[in-house]
Amino acid sequence: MKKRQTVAKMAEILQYEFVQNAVAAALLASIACGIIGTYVVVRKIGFISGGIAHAAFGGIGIGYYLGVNPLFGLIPFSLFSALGIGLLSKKAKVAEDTAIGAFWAAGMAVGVLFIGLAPGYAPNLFSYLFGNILTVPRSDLFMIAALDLFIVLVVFACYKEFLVISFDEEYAEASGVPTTFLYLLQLCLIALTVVVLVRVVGIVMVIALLTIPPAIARNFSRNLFVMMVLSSLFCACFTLAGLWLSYVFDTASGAMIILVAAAAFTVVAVAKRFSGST
Amino acid sequence: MNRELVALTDVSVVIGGTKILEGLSMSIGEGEFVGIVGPNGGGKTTLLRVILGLQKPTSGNVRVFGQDPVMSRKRIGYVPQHLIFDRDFPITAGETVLTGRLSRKGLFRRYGKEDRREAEKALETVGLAGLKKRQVGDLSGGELQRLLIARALAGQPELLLLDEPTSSIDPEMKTTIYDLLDDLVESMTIIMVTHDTGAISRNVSRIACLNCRVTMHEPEAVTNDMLSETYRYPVDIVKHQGHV
Repeated sequence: MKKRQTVAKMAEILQYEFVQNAVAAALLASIACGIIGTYVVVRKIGFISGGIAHAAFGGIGIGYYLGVNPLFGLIPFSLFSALGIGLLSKKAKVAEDTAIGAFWAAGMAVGVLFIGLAPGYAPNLFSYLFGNILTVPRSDLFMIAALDLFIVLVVFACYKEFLVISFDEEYAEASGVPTTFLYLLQLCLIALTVVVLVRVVGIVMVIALLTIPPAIARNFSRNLFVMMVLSSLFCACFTLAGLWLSYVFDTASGAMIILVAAAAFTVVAVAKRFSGST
Repeated sequence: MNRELVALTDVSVVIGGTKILEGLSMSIGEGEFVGIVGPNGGGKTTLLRVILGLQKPTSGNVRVFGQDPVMSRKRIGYVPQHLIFDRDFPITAGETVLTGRLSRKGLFRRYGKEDRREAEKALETVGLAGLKKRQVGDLSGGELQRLLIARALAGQPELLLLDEPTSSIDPEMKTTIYDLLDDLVESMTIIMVTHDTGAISRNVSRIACLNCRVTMHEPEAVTNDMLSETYRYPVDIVKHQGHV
């Protein structure tokens, strides 16, 4: 009886357009998240991804100041910081974590500065920092879908190169693969994924969604492709479950999604420990 | 000597103020099997990296197949000493060997039938055909070493560079790998860095003793004194008895 009520309730809330949009955003974001998150986890560049995500806040601030959709400020600015972090750590003699830290804070500073300069009060700033999947407008869905398509096409074209630079960068270089170019391309794809995920979980929590689903998927994957597919599925499960729970308990959706993912991560880690596999 | 494949003229490499190689000149011809011995830190790996074009010399000239080393990469197979990788990395042995075809493929091109055939052949050559679907992290040290050789062979190289291919495996497997190299030298030129002086006396046609500078020897001429001078401590060598 209780079950039937739940199903009926789900059907009822699914009729709202904002809920439909939220579900669509969750599913679309999961595609980019699973594919790019897989690279983030196997290359261990989670901290770089966090840096790109936070630096991207500068783009949101500039977007506000100029009075355009903040996502339009976000895309160029996050690409710029991805390239900046990548070039600074690869070409200049700057330690990678220093480059990341500098961009991380400087980007946020730019954002705060421009939001302060913009006339009036910026009311939904909070939703960019912590995400609010329930406020994704339909126009943003098209942009997310376009970014997804772009990410899938690039990864399809560069799959074998991305695999070899992730697995054995020196060998890739010895094979004549343009490793620096491809690394920067990967960072740009991370930047675009950040743009996709900002609406869902917000800048501050992007890093969790980029790392937790692939980290779980790795336990069940023999190769990178399988890991990408599983990561996307896990990501979709976490976002939808988080969305549902945030509705039931009337809490912030972004935080709920991350907590669901973190809980699943803990369960898998503990289960792995007790099942005796390494 | 046959056609010259590798020519180093007065090559020096300085990394971070430390002289790794100094005034090094050597010439390696087609069909040779050159062994490079020397103490740790003597610049052996750096020498291979110079030939591969991964390390630019600070001064001096490097020609490989008569060209800049970077231009010759697709004709060289490289077997690094260790594969520094995450044992959890999701990649199969078959996929790893396929990456040996990369230098022959253009960017954005997918692996084709020929690539898969060459990868299979390379796996068979090193005796790993049955482990194609195995995850690389689950391979033993010896299997991994042979996998790295298979990866280099998949690119059908004319010149094979090996960096201590037997450093992490048991004696029996060593013999297998040296037998394999004996077969391979029929069809390609081999440069091998090694600590294993026994192997040197058995397989190679010439020896380079490297300790910042290089001295070239015919295997018959290598004496304990020479090696000691390179290593700066006593070394045992097995006298060359001709090929077994």
